[in-house]
Amino acid sequence: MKLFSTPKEEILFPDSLKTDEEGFHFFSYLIKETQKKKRFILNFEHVEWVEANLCAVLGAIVATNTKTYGAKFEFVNMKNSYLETTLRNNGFLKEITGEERDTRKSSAVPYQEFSMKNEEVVEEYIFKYVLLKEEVPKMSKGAKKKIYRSIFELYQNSVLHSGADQVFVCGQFFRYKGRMALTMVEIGKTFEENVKSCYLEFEHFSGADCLNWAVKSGNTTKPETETGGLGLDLIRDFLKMNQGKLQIRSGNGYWIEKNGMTNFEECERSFCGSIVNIEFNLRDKNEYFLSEELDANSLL
Amino acid sequence: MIMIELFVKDFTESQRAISAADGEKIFQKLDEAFTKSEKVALDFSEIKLTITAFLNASIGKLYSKYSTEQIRSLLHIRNLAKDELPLLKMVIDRAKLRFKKEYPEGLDKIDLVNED
Repeated sequence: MKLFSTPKEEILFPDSLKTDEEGFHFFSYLIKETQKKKRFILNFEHVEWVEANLCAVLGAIVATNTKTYGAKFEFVNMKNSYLETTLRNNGFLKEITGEERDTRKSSAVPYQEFSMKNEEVVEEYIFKYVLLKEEVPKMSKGAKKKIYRSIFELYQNSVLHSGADQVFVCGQFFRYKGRMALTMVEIGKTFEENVKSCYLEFEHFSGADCLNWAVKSGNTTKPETETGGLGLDLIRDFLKMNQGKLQIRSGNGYWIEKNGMTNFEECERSFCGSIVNIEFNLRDKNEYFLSEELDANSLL
Repeated sequence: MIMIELFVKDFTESQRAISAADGEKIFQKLDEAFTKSEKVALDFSEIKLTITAFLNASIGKLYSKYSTEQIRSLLHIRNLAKDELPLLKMVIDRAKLRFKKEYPEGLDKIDLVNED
Protein backbone atom coordinates (compact mmCIF):
# COMPACT_ATOMS: atom_id res chain seq x y z
CA MET A 1 0.00 0.00 0.00
CA LYS A 2 1.42 3.37 -0.99
CA LEU A 3 0.88 6.12 1.58
CA PHE A 4 2.63 8.94 -0.21
CA SER A 5 4.89 9.16 -3.18
CA THR A 6 7.37 12.05 -2.97
CA PRO A 7 10.09 12.59 -2.10
CA LYS A 8 10.03 9.19 -0.46
CA GLU A 9 7.68 6.36 -1.13
CA GLU A 10 6.48 4.33 1.78
CA ILE A 11 5.52 0.72 1.37
CA LEU A 12 3.59 -0.88 4.17
CA PHE A 13 4.40 -4.53 4.74
CA PRO A 14 1.53 -6.95 5.44
CA ASP A 15 1.05 -8.31 8.97
CA SER A 16 2.28 -11.73 7.99
CA LEU A 17 4.74 -12.87 5.35
CA LYS A 18 4.75 -16.59 4.75
CA THR A 19 6.22 -18.81 2.08
CA ASP A 20 2.95 -19.11 0.23
CA GLU A 21 1.07 -17.66 -2.71
CA GLU A 22 0.10 -14.54 -0.77
CA GLY A 23 3.68 -13.90 0.33
CA PHE A 24 4.97 -14.31 -3.22
CA HIS A 25 2.20 -12.00 -4.44
CA PHE A 26 3.46 -9.26 -2.12
CA PHE A 27 7.07 -9.71 -3.25
CA SER A 28 5.98 -9.54 -6.91
CA TYR A 29 4.39 -6.20 -6.11
CA LEU A 30 7.44 -5.01 -4.16
CA ILE A 31 9.98 -5.81 -6.88
CA LYS A 32 7.97 -4.07 -9.57
CA GLU A 33 7.10 -1.06 -7.41
CA THR A 34 10.70 -0.39 -6.39
CA GLN A 35 12.23 -0.49 -9.87
CA LYS A 36 12.88 3.26 -9.75
CA LYS A 37 15.60 5.65 -8.72
CA LYS A 38 13.85 6.65 -5.56
CA ARG A 39 14.03 6.31 -1.79
CA PHE A 40 11.72 3.64 -0.41
CA ILE A 41 10.66 3.36 3.20
CA LEU A 42 9.82 -0.25 3.97
CA ASN A 43 7.47 0.03 6.88
CA PHE A 44 7.18 -3.01 9.17
CA GLU A 45 4.73 -1.35 11.56
CA HIS A 46 2.04 -4.01 11.24
CA VAL A 47 4.28 -6.99 10.72
CA GLU A 48 3.72 -9.75 13.25
CA TRP A 49 5.32 -12.67 11.46
CA VAL A 50 7.95 -13.17 8.79
CA GLU A 51 9.37 -16.53 7.81
CA ALA A 52 13.13 -16.00 7.93
CA ASN A 53 13.85 -17.89 4.70
CA LEU A 54 11.94 -15.12 2.86
CA CYS A 55 14.87 -12.81 3.53
CA ALA A 56 16.30 -14.38 0.37
CA VAL A 57 13.47 -12.77 -1.63
CA LEU A 58 13.58 -9.44 0.17
CA GLY A 59 17.38 -9.31 -0.12
CA ALA A 60 17.26 -10.14 -3.82
CA ILE A 61 14.78 -7.32 -4.46
CA VAL A 62 16.72 -4.75 -2.42
CA ALA A 63 20.11 -5.68 -3.89
CA THR A 64 18.92 -5.90 -7.49
CA ASN A 65 16.86 -2.73 -7.55
CA THR A 66 19.59 -0.80 -5.75
CA LYS A 67 22.16 -1.92 -8.29
CA THR A 68 20.01 -1.77 -11.43
CA TYR A 69 17.74 1.22 -10.80
CA GLY A 70 19.53 3.19 -8.11
CA ALA A 71 16.67 2.62 -5.62
CA LYS A 72 17.46 3.26 -1.95
CA PHE A 73 15.79 1.42 0.91
CA GLU A 74 15.16 2.19 4.52
CA PHE A 75 13.64 -0.30 6.97
CA VAL A 76 11.47 1.30 9.64
CA ASN A 77 9.29 0.32 12.60
CA MET A 78 10.79 -3.02 13.41
CA LYS A 79 9.28 -2.71 16.85
CA ASN A 80 8.33 -6.30 17.09
CA SER A 81 11.21 -7.94 18.96
CA TYR A 82 10.52 -11.33 17.37
CA LEU A 83 10.90 -9.79 13.92
CA GLU A 84 14.05 -7.88 14.75
CA THR A 85 15.62 -10.91 16.39
CA THR A 86 14.75 -13.13 13.43
CA LEU A 87 16.25 -10.77 10.88
CA ARG A 88 19.26 -10.08 13.05
CA ASN A 89 19.99 -13.74 13.82
CA ASN A 90 20.19 -14.74 10.20
CA GLY A 91 22.47 -11.83 9.35
CA PHE A 92 19.91 -10.07 7.14
CA LEU A 93 19.95 -6.79 9.07
CA LYS A 94 23.72 -6.72 9.03
CA GLU A 95 23.69 -7.20 5.28
CA ILE A 96 20.98 -4.62 4.60
CA THR A 97 21.70 -1.91 7.13
CA GLY A 98 25.45 -2.37 7.20
CA GLU A 99 25.48 -2.63 11.01
CA GLU A 100 28.93 -3.76 11.96
CA ARG A 101 28.55 -6.35 14.67
CA ASP A 102 28.17 -9.91 13.55
CA THR A 103 24.86 -10.96 14.98
CA ARG A 104 24.43 -14.29 13.30
CA LYS A 105 23.24 -17.04 15.57
CA SER A 106 24.49 -20.53 15.00
CA SER A 107 20.92 -21.80 14.90
CA ALA A 108 20.06 -19.82 11.76
CA VAL A 109 20.64 -20.67 8.12
CA PRO A 110 21.94 -17.22 7.20
CA TYR A 111 20.96 -14.87 4.45
CA GLN A 112 23.68 -14.77 1.83
CA GLU A 113 24.28 -13.54 -1.70
CA PHE A 114 26.44 -15.72 -3.95
CA SER A 115 28.05 -15.04 -7.26
CA MET A 116 26.94 -17.69 -9.75
CA LYS A 117 30.61 -18.32 -10.47
CA ASN A 118 31.53 -18.96 -6.86
CA GLU A 119 30.40 -22.54 -6.50
CA GLU A 120 32.94 -23.46 -3.82
CA VAL A 121 31.54 -20.82 -1.47
CA VAL A 122 28.01 -22.16 -1.93
CA GLU A 123 29.28 -25.63 -1.20
CA GLU A 124 30.88 -24.47 2.02
CA TYR A 125 27.72 -22.61 3.06
CA ILE A 126 25.45 -25.62 2.57
CA PHE A 127 27.86 -27.88 4.39
CA LYS A 128 28.38 -25.52 7.32
CA TYR A 129 24.91 -24.09 7.82
CA VAL A 130 22.70 -26.94 6.67
CA LEU A 131 24.35 -30.32 6.98
CA LEU A 132 26.28 -29.75 10.17
CA LYS A 133 23.31 -28.37 12.08
CA GLU A 134 22.37 -30.27 15.18
CA GLU A 135 18.93 -31.08 13.76
CA VAL A 136 20.28 -32.74 10.65
CA PRO A 137 22.68 -35.40 11.98
CA LYS A 138 19.72 -37.32 13.38
CA MET A 139 18.88 -38.38 9.85
CA SER A 140 20.36 -41.34 8.00
CA LYS A 141 23.46 -40.87 5.86
CA GLY A 142 21.36 -41.63 2.77
CA ALA A 143 18.78 -38.96 3.62
CA LYS A 144 21.44 -36.34 4.31
CA LYS A 145 23.10 -37.09 1.02
CA LYS A 146 19.81 -36.66 -0.81
CA ILE A 147 19.22 -33.30 0.88
CA TYR A 148 22.65 -32.12 -0.13
CA ARG A 149 22.19 -33.36 -3.68
CA SER A 150 18.77 -31.69 -3.96
CA ILE A 151 20.13 -28.31 -2.90
CA PHE A 152 22.95 -28.51 -5.41
CA GLU A 153 20.69 -29.64 -8.22
CA LEU A 154 18.61 -26.52 -7.55
CA TYR A 155 21.66 -24.28 -7.40
CA GLN A 156 22.99 -25.66 -10.70
CA ASN A 157 19.58 -25.09 -12.26
CA SER A 158 19.94 -21.41 -11.37
CA VAL A 159 23.49 -21.30 -12.72
CA LEU A 160 22.51 -22.94 -16.00
CA HIS A 161 19.16 -21.34 -16.74
CA SER A 162 18.66 -17.98 -15.01
CA GLY A 163 21.31 -15.92 -16.79
CA ALA A 164 21.66 -14.02 -13.50
CA ASP A 165 24.95 -13.05 -11.85
CA GLN A 166 23.84 -13.79 -8.33
CA VAL A 167 21.70 -16.11 -6.32
CA PHE A 168 20.26 -15.14 -2.93
CA VAL A 169 19.82 -17.82 -0.32
CA CYS A 170 18.31 -17.99 3.16
CA GLY A 171 16.88 -20.76 5.29
CA GLN A 172 15.02 -21.52 8.43
CA PHE A 173 14.72 -24.44 10.81
CA PHE A 174 11.24 -25.08 12.14
CA ARG A 175 12.22 -26.94 15.26
CA TYR A 176 8.80 -27.98 16.48
CA LYS A 177 7.76 -29.23 13.09
CA GLY A 178 11.16 -30.87 12.50
CA ARG A 179 11.54 -29.21 9.14
CA MET A 180 13.96 -26.98 7.33
CA ALA A 181 13.17 -24.56 4.52
CA LEU A 182 15.72 -23.16 2.12
CA THR A 183 14.81 -20.44 -0.35
CA MET A 184 16.87 -19.58 -3.42
CA VAL A 185 16.11 -16.53 -5.52
CA GLU A 186 17.53 -15.17 -8.72
CA ILE A 187 16.43 -12.15 -10.66
CA GLY A 188 16.86 -13.20 -14.25
CA LYS A 189 15.11 -15.24 -16.91
CA THR A 190 11.85 -16.81 -15.83
CA PHE A 191 10.93 -20.43 -16.53
CA GLU A 192 8.41 -19.11 -19.06
CA GLU A 193 11.04 -17.11 -20.95
CA ASN A 194 13.34 -20.12 -21.10
CA VAL A 195 10.67 -22.58 -22.22
CA LYS A 196 9.17 -20.28 -24.86
CA SER A 197 12.52 -19.24 -26.32
CA CYS A 198 13.40 -22.89 -26.72
CA TYR A 199 10.11 -24.33 -27.98
CA LEU A 200 8.04 -22.18 -30.35
CA GLU A 201 5.19 -24.69 -30.14
CA PHE A 202 4.66 -23.69 -26.47
CA GLU A 203 3.91 -20.08 -27.35
CA HIS A 204 0.35 -20.49 -26.02
CA PHE A 205 1.58 -21.81 -22.63
CA SER A 206 0.92 -19.71 -19.54
CA GLY A 207 3.66 -19.14 -16.94
CA ALA A 208 2.17 -21.92 -14.83
CA ASP A 209 2.04 -24.32 -17.82
CA CYS A 210 5.73 -23.62 -18.47
CA LEU A 211 6.58 -24.40 -14.83
CA ASN A 212 4.59 -27.61 -14.91
CA TRP A 213 6.34 -28.65 -18.12
CA ALA A 214 9.81 -27.85 -16.75
CA VAL A 215 9.48 -29.97 -13.61
CA LYS A 216 8.71 -33.15 -15.57
CA SER A 217 11.33 -35.79 -16.11
CA GLY A 218 13.45 -35.33 -19.24
CA ASN A 219 12.08 -31.90 -20.16
CA THR A 220 14.91 -29.46 -20.65
CA THR A 221 15.66 -26.15 -22.35
CA LYS A 222 19.32 -27.00 -22.83
CA PRO A 223 20.82 -26.88 -26.35
CA GLU A 224 20.34 -29.91 -28.59
CA THR A 225 23.88 -31.18 -27.97
CA GLU A 226 23.34 -31.33 -24.22
CA THR A 227 21.23 -33.48 -21.99
CA GLY A 228 19.29 -32.58 -18.87
CA GLY A 229 15.88 -32.40 -17.30
CA LEU A 230 16.56 -34.80 -14.46
CA GLY A 231 17.47 -32.59 -11.50
CA LEU A 232 14.01 -31.32 -10.58
CA ASP A 233 12.47 -34.73 -11.12
CA LEU A 234 15.04 -36.29 -8.83
CA ILE A 235 14.27 -33.72 -6.14
CA ARG A 236 10.53 -34.39 -6.49
CA ASP A 237 11.03 -38.13 -6.11
CA PHE A 238 13.07 -37.60 -2.96
CA LEU A 239 10.64 -35.08 -1.48
CA LYS A 240 7.75 -37.49 -1.98
CA MET A 241 9.54 -40.07 0.17
CA ASN A 242 10.80 -37.46 2.59
CA GLN A 243 7.36 -35.84 2.87
CA GLY A 244 8.86 -32.51 1.99
CA LYS A 245 7.64 -29.65 -0.13
CA LEU A 246 8.77 -27.82 -3.27
CA GLN A 247 7.44 -24.45 -4.40
CA ILE A 248 8.41 -22.41 -7.44
CA ARG A 249 7.23 -18.88 -8.26
CA SER A 250 8.51 -17.58 -11.60
CA GLY A 251 6.98 -15.01 -13.95
CA ASN A 252 3.24 -15.38 -13.55
CA GLY A 253 3.45 -19.04 -12.62
CA TYR A 254 3.18 -20.68 -9.23
CA TRP A 255 3.82 -24.39 -8.76
CA ILE A 256 3.72 -26.40 -5.56
CA GLU A 257 4.12 -30.06 -4.66
CA LYS A 258 3.46 -31.22 -1.15
CA ASN A 259 2.82 -34.74 0.13
CA GLY A 260 2.82 -35.94 -3.46
CA MET A 261 0.03 -33.54 -4.45
CA THR A 262 0.81 -31.08 -7.23
CA ASN A 263 -0.89 -27.79 -7.92
CA PHE A 264 -0.03 -25.01 -10.33
CA GLU A 265 -1.73 -21.78 -11.21
CA GLU A 266 -1.39 -18.48 -13.00
CA CYS A 267 -0.92 -15.41 -10.80
CA GLU A 268 -2.00 -11.87 -11.38
CA ARG A 269 1.42 -10.33 -10.78
CA SER A 270 4.65 -11.39 -12.41
CA PHE A 271 7.91 -11.96 -10.54
CA CYS A 272 10.82 -11.13 -12.85
CA GLY A 273 12.98 -14.09 -11.89
CA SER A 274 12.49 -17.25 -9.89
CA ILE A 275 11.89 -18.07 -6.25
CA VAL A 276 12.43 -21.70 -5.35
CA ASN A 277 11.63 -22.92 -1.86
CA ILE A 278 12.45 -26.41 -0.75
CA GLU A 279 11.32 -27.79 2.58
CA PHE A 280 12.74 -30.97 4.05
CA ASN A 281 11.31 -33.20 6.74
CA LEU A 282 14.19 -33.65 9.18
CA ARG A 283 12.44 -36.50 10.96
CA ASP A 284 12.78 -38.70 7.91
CA LYS A 285 13.73 -42.19 9.13
CA ASN A 286 14.22 -43.71 5.68
CA GLU A 287 17.64 -45.20 5.04
CA TYR A 288 17.51 -44.84 1.24
CA PHE A 289 19.26 -48.14 0.57
CA LEU A 290 20.08 -49.20 -2.94
CA SER A 291 17.62 -51.63 -4.43
CA GLU A 292 19.81 -52.98 -7.21
CA GLU A 293 23.42 -53.92 -7.81
CA LEU A 294 24.92 -52.02 -10.73
CA ASP A 295 28.25 -51.99 -12.52
CA ALA A 296 29.34 -48.59 -13.85
CA ASN A 297 30.79 -49.83 -17.14
CA SER A 298 27.82 -51.99 -18.00
CA LEU A 299 25.68 -48.83 -17.83
CA LEU A 300 27.55 -47.16 -20.70
CA MET B 1 47.21 -49.33 -26.18
CA ILE B 2 47.92 -46.79 -23.45
CA MET B 3 44.98 -45.73 -21.35
CA ILE B 4 44.85 -42.10 -20.22
CA GLU B 5 43.86 -41.61 -16.59
CA LEU B 6 41.64 -38.71 -15.57
CA PHE B 7 40.94 -38.16 -11.90
CA VAL B 8 37.65 -36.37 -11.26
CA LYS B 9 39.02 -34.91 -8.05
CA ASP B 10 41.68 -33.01 -10.03
CA PHE B 11 38.87 -31.10 -11.72
CA THR B 12 36.50 -30.64 -8.80
CA GLU B 13 39.20 -29.98 -6.17
CA SER B 14 36.62 -31.30 -3.76
CA GLN B 15 35.04 -34.58 -2.73
CA ARG B 16 31.84 -33.42 -4.36
CA ALA B 17 31.28 -33.35 -8.12
CA ILE B 18 28.46 -30.83 -8.15
CA SER B 19 29.35 -28.35 -10.86
CA ALA B 20 28.27 -28.49 -14.50
CA ALA B 21 31.31 -26.33 -15.33
CA ASP B 22 33.68 -28.97 -13.91
CA GLY B 23 31.76 -31.62 -15.83
CA GLU B 24 32.24 -29.64 -19.03
CA LYS B 25 36.03 -29.52 -18.44
CA ILE B 26 36.07 -33.31 -18.13
CA PHE B 27 33.96 -33.65 -21.29
CA GLN B 28 36.52 -31.54 -23.19
CA LYS B 29 39.34 -33.86 -22.06
CA LEU B 30 37.36 -36.98 -22.97
CA ASP B 31 36.41 -35.52 -26.34
CA GLU B 32 40.02 -34.64 -27.07
CA ALA B 33 41.09 -38.23 -26.35
CA PHE B 34 38.16 -39.88 -28.14
CA THR B 35 38.80 -37.98 -31.39
CA LYS B 36 42.24 -39.60 -31.38
CA SER B 37 40.67 -42.97 -30.44
CA GLU B 38 42.55 -42.93 -27.15
CA LYS B 39 41.10 -44.87 -24.25
CA VAL B 40 40.40 -43.04 -21.00
CA ALA B 41 39.95 -44.29 -17.45
CA LEU B 42 37.76 -41.80 -15.59
CA ASP B 43 38.53 -42.27 -11.93
CA PHE B 44 36.07 -41.15 -9.24
CA SER B 45 38.30 -41.99 -6.26
CA GLU B 46 37.50 -39.85 -3.20
CA ILE B 47 34.35 -38.43 -4.82
CA LYS B 48 31.54 -38.83 -2.33
CA LEU B 49 28.71 -37.05 -4.11
CA THR B 50 27.72 -36.32 -7.69
CA ILE B 51 24.70 -34.56 -9.16
CA THR B 52 22.99 -34.91 -12.54
CA ALA B 53 24.21 -31.48 -13.72
CA PHE B 54 27.81 -32.71 -13.37
CA LEU B 55 27.18 -36.16 -14.91
CA ASN B 56 25.16 -34.70 -17.80
CA ALA B 57 27.97 -32.31 -18.70
CA SER B 58 30.82 -34.80 -18.33
CA ILE B 59 29.39 -38.16 -19.48
CA GLY B 60 25.84 -37.64 -20.80
CA LYS B 61 27.01 -35.16 -23.42
CA LEU B 62 29.35 -37.78 -24.94
CA TYR B 63 26.29 -39.51 -26.39
CA SER B 64 25.55 -36.46 -28.56
CA LYS B 65 28.83 -37.03 -30.37
CA TYR B 66 29.78 -40.68 -30.03
CA SER B 67 27.92 -43.95 -30.45
CA THR B 68 27.28 -46.23 -27.50
CA GLU B 69 29.79 -48.72 -28.99
CA GLN B 70 32.50 -46.06 -29.24
CA ILE B 71 31.90 -44.92 -25.68
CA ARG B 72 31.95 -48.50 -24.38
CA SER B 73 35.25 -49.18 -26.08
CA LEU B 74 36.97 -45.91 -25.15
CA LEU B 75 35.69 -45.05 -21.67
CA HIS B 76 36.33 -46.97 -18.50
CA ILE B 77 34.75 -45.69 -15.29
CA ARG B 78 36.62 -46.50 -12.10
CA ASN B 79 35.92 -46.21 -8.40
CA LEU B 80 32.52 -44.56 -8.60
CA ALA B 81 30.81 -45.13 -5.25
CA LYS B 82 28.06 -47.74 -5.34
CA ASP B 83 25.38 -45.35 -4.18
CA GLU B 84 26.17 -42.96 -7.07
CA LEU B 85 25.49 -45.62 -9.71
CA PRO B 86 21.69 -45.20 -9.94
CA LEU B 87 22.27 -41.53 -10.75
CA LEU B 88 24.79 -42.41 -13.47
CA LYS B 89 22.32 -44.93 -14.87
CA MET B 90 19.59 -42.28 -14.96
CA VAL B 91 21.85 -39.80 -16.77
CA ILE B 92 23.08 -42.34 -19.34
CA ASP B 93 19.61 -43.72 -20.05
CA ARG B 94 18.32 -40.21 -20.56
CA ALA B 95 21.26 -39.24 -22.81
CA LYS B 96 20.78 -42.35 -24.97
CA LEU B 97 17.13 -41.46 -25.38
CA ARG B 98 17.78 -37.80 -26.18
CA PHE B 99 20.49 -38.49 -28.73
CA LYS B 100 18.92 -41.58 -30.26
CA LYS B 101 19.67 -41.61 -33.97
CA GLU B 102 16.51 -41.95 -35.97
CA TYR B 103 16.96 -43.08 -39.52
CA PRO B 104 14.21 -42.78 -42.15
CA GLU B 105 12.17 -45.89 -42.77
CA GLY B 106 13.28 -48.02 -45.73
CA LEU B 107 16.82 -46.64 -45.67
CA ASP B 108 18.18 -49.87 -47.23
CA LYS B 109 15.90 -49.51 -50.25
CA ILE B 110 17.05 -45.92 -50.78
CA ASP B 111 20.67 -47.15 -50.87
CA LEU B 112 19.78 -49.75 -53.51
CA VAL B 113 18.13 -47.13 -55.70
CA ASN B 114 21.19 -44.90 -55.39
CA GLU B 115 23.51 -47.70 -56.43
CA ASP B 116 21.68 -47.91 -59.75
